[in-house]
Amino acid sequence: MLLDASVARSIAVLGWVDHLANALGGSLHIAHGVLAGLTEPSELQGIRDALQREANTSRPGSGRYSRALAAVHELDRLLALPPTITLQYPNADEARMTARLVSREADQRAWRGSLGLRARWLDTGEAVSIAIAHGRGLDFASDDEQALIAYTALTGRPPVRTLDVIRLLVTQQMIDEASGRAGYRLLREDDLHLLGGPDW
Amino acid sequence: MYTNLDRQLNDLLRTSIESLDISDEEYRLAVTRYEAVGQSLADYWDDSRASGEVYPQGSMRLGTVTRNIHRNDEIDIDLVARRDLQKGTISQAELKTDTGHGLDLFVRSRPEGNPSKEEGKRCWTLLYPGFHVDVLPALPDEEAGGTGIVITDTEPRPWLPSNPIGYANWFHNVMRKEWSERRARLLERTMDVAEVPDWAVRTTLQRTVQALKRHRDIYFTDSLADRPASVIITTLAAKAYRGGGSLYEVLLHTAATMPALVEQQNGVYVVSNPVQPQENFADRWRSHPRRAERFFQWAQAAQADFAGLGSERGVDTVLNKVSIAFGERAAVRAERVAGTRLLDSRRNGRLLMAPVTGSLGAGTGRVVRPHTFHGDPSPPPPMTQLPEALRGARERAGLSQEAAADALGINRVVLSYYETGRRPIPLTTAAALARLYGTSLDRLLAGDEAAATAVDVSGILYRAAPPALADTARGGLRVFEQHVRDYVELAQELGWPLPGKGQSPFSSVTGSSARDAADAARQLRRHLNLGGGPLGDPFRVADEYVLVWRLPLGEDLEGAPSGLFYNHPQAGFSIVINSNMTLGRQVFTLAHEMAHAFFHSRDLDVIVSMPGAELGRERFADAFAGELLVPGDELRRLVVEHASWNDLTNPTTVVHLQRHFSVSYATIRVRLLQERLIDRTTFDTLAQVSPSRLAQALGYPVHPADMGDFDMHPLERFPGRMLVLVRSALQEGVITPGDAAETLRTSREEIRQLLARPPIAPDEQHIQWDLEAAAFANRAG
Repeated sequence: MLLDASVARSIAVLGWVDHLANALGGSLHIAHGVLAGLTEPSELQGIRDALQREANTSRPGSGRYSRALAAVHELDRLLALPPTITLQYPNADEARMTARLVSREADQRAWRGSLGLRARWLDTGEAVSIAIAHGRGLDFASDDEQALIAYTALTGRPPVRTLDVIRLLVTQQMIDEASGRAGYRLLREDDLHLLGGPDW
Repeated sequence: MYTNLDRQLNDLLRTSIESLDISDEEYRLAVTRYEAVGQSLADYWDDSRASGEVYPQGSMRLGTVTRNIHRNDEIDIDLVARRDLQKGTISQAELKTDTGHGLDLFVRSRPEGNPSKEEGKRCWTLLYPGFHVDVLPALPDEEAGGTGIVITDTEPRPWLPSNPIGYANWFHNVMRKEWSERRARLLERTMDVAEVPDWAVRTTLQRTVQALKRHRDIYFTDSLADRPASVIITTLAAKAYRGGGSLYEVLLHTAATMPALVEQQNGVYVVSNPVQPQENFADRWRSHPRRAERFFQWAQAAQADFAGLGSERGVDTVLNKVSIAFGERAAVRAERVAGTRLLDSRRNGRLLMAPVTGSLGAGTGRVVRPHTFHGDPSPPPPMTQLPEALRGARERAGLSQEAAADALGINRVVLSYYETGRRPIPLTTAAALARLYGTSLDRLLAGDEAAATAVDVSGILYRAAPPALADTARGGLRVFEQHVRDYVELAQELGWPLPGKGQSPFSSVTGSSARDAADAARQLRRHLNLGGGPLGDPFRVADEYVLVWRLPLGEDLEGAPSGLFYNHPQAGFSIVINSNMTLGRQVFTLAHEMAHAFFHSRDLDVIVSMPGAELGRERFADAFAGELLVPGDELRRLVVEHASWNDLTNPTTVVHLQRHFSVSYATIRVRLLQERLIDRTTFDTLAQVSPSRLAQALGYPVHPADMGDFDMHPLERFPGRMLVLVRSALQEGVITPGDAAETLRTSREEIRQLLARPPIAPDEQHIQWDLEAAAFANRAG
C-alpha cells in the first residue's frame, strides 16, 4: 500500500507505522517527495516543522503543547526512514502522469474533468503518489477526496482512507478495536489534528 | 554485505572517532593517578572508624572516554570514593567534608602531577595538567544492597541512590557478544593476551557513544547548560543498539532511534536507569523543559549530519562533514590515516570515485548514488532531461543557485545535486522550482523553454531596482511574482472581480518637504477615517486598501530592498515588505510604501525602496511614514497633557510613548527630534539603552522578532485577501488542501488550521473580503 502525506501523518502520530507495516507484510510505500532523505525537502518534513511550530507557540506544559510535541516525536521516527518504509521513485512514465495531473494546460484540465475531478488540479505530492500507485498496481491511501476520485477513475480500485487503514489494523489484530476507535476519534476531534473524514 | 565504498566510509569514520580517544599512555597515567588517590584515601580511612574503596565510574568504566572539546581536549575522569559507613551515622555535608579533608592530605603530599583541589557541586575535583579527576563521596546503599551506593546532593534532601557499577555491568552486557568477537579478532592478530587489555577493545556501541558525545559538545557550544547528560546519551544508545552492523549503520540507527526511546509518563519525559528504574536520568527536563526540546532538536541535527556523511563520495567532502560532526581534530586524523595519495590527489583536484572499484580515490570519476541504508530499493537513474531543464530554467529566470535555494528554503548543495543529476529530484521540489522560475513541471518535462507567465513582474521589478540589488533579493522578487500570479489566477477561478490597476484618490506629490509629507499623511488619515491617534496594527489597516506581502528579500540591507510598491495591472496596489528586517522596521516600511501607493502611483507603477536612498521621493515617503504612524499633534498633546510623560530625557517615558504608538523605539526617537521635543544630545543619549529589555522590565510584552530569534508564521506572509481567497476556493472544492499548501508555500497543517476558521458569509466575499478572516489570528501574535 502506498500512503499519501495525510494518511502517513495520521498513522505516524498515532505511533502505528510498524503495526501497519506488519499488517501489510513488512513494508509501507511512500512516494519520493512526500518523504525524502534527511537533508532533502519533503511534504512530511513540512508537516513535522509545522507541528514543531505549534509546540513552540503553545504554552509549555499545556495539552496542545504535549500533543504537538508527541506528534513531532512520532513523525521524527518516520522521517528517519525506518526499515519498514520503502521510498518509491517515479520512473519516466510516472513522472509524465504526474505532470498531467498537475498541469495548468486546458487540455489536461479537460482530461482530469473527464476523470471526475472538480478541483482545478492536484498537488504534486498526491499526483506523484497516484502515478506510482497506478503504474505499479499498488493500493493508494489518502484523505484527499479529489485524489481518491482520480485514483479510482484511473485504476478501478476502491479508495482507501485513514479510517480504512485503522480498521485494517483492527481486523489484522494489530490493535484492539477500542484503541482504533480512540485513535480515530483523536484524529477527527482534536483541534491539533482536524482530520475530518467519515464516521467509524 | 558491504561494498568497498561502505568499508572505506566506515574506516574513515572509525579513524575519526578514534581521535576522540585518550592515548594508551594517557590511559595508563589516568589509572596510575586514580590508584594513587585511592591509596591515599585508603590510608586516611585506615586511621579512622571505617574503610572504603575508590573506583572509576562513568565513561572511564564504560570505555567511552571522549576528550573535552570545551576544555582544550582535557580528559575527565570520574571516581567514586565510597566510605563504608551507615547512612545514619554521618550527614551528607559531613561526608563531603571528610572526603575533602582526605583529598587535602593527598594534595599536600605533592603526588605525581602535583594536582590542586577544587570544590564542585556534588564532588571534589583534582586538577592535573590535561586531566580533571572528579571524586564523588558516597556510602553503600544498605537498602539496595550489592553495588548500590547513595551519594550527596547540593539540595537539602535525602541521599540519592545510584549504582555506577551495576550500570556499567548492564552496558557491557548489552555489547558482550560484539566485544568478545572483537577481542578474539585482536588476539588472532597479536597472539598475546597481555597486549590486548580489555580497555583496548572498542565496540561499535562504544564508538557510537563517543561520536554522539562529541557531536553534542559541538552542537551545544553556545549553550552548554542545555546539553543532554552523557548518561542519557549512553543509555539511549545502548537501548538502540542491536548487536552489530557497520559503524555507520549503528551511528545512523542510534541517532534516528534515540528520540523514540525517550518515554513519556503522565506528560513527563523519562529515561530510566536500566538497573534502577525509579531513577529518571531526564529528571531535570521537568524543571527545564527547554532542555527536552533542545535534546530532540539535537538528535535531529545529528541524524542529518550523520546521514550527510553517507551521502558524500569525495574524500574532501566526507572529511568536511566529519569536521562539522566531530570537529577538526577528527577530520585531520582521518585525513592523515587516509594516506598521502589522497592528499596529493586533492591538490591536483582529481578526487572522485574510481569507476570500476567504486572506491574513494583519485582518477576519472563517475556519479555514484548516495547510501540509503534503509532497505530502499536503489533509486532509478534520474530522468535525464529534468536536471538539465531545471538548470536552464533557473538561468533564464536570472537566479543563482543560492538565490533559488534560499527562495525555496532548501540547501544550495542539495539543489546543485539535483541539477547535476547526482540525486534524483523529488517531483514535488521540481514542481516548486518550476513555478519559481515562471514555468511548470509539464513544460520542463516536455522540453518547452517558454515562460508560462503573462506579465513578467520580476523582470519589471529587476529593471526598477538599483543595479546593486542582491542575489537573494532577486529570489524574493520571484516569489512575489509567483504569489501575485496565484492571487490573480485564484480570483479568476472563483469569478471574483479584480480591481485592475490601482487609482489613488490623491494627486501626485512631487516635492519632498517634511511639511508636504505631514499634510499628505493627515490627508490619508482623514480619507481612511483613521482619526488622529495610534493606528494599532498598521498591517491590518493597510490590508483593506493594499495587498501587503511580507517576504524575505535578504538580510544584508546593502543590497536588499526594505520594501517595494508595485501597481499590478490586475491585482492593483501591492506592497512587499522585507520580512528579514525587525518588526519595527517592517511597520515603518509599510507606512513608507503607502506614501508611494497614494502619492506617487499616478506617475510610477513600480518603486523599489533601498535603505538610505537619497531621492526626494524617498525622503518624502520617510517623513510621511513618521507622521502617519506618530502624528505630531497627538505626540505633542500627550507630552504636554500627561505630566508623567514630559520627562523626555528618561528612556522609560520614551518606551511608554513607543508602546502607545506601536512603533519602533528608533521611530519614536526620530519623531521626538523632528517635532523638536528633544534635542540632538538627548536623541543620542536615548540611543544608549536596550528598549526591548526596558520594555520587558516595564511589563510590556516583547515580540520575539525584537529579541532576534523569530520565524514568521508562514501565513503572516500573505495579504488577508489572499487567505480569504484560498479558504473560499477550498470550501467550494475548486482547489484541494495540497494545492492550497503549494499555493501558500506551506504545509497541509496550516491549511487544516486555516479551514478550521468560521466559514465566510457569502455577502462578505466580494467587497468586504472578510477582514477578520483576512487579518487571521496569527497576525495578533
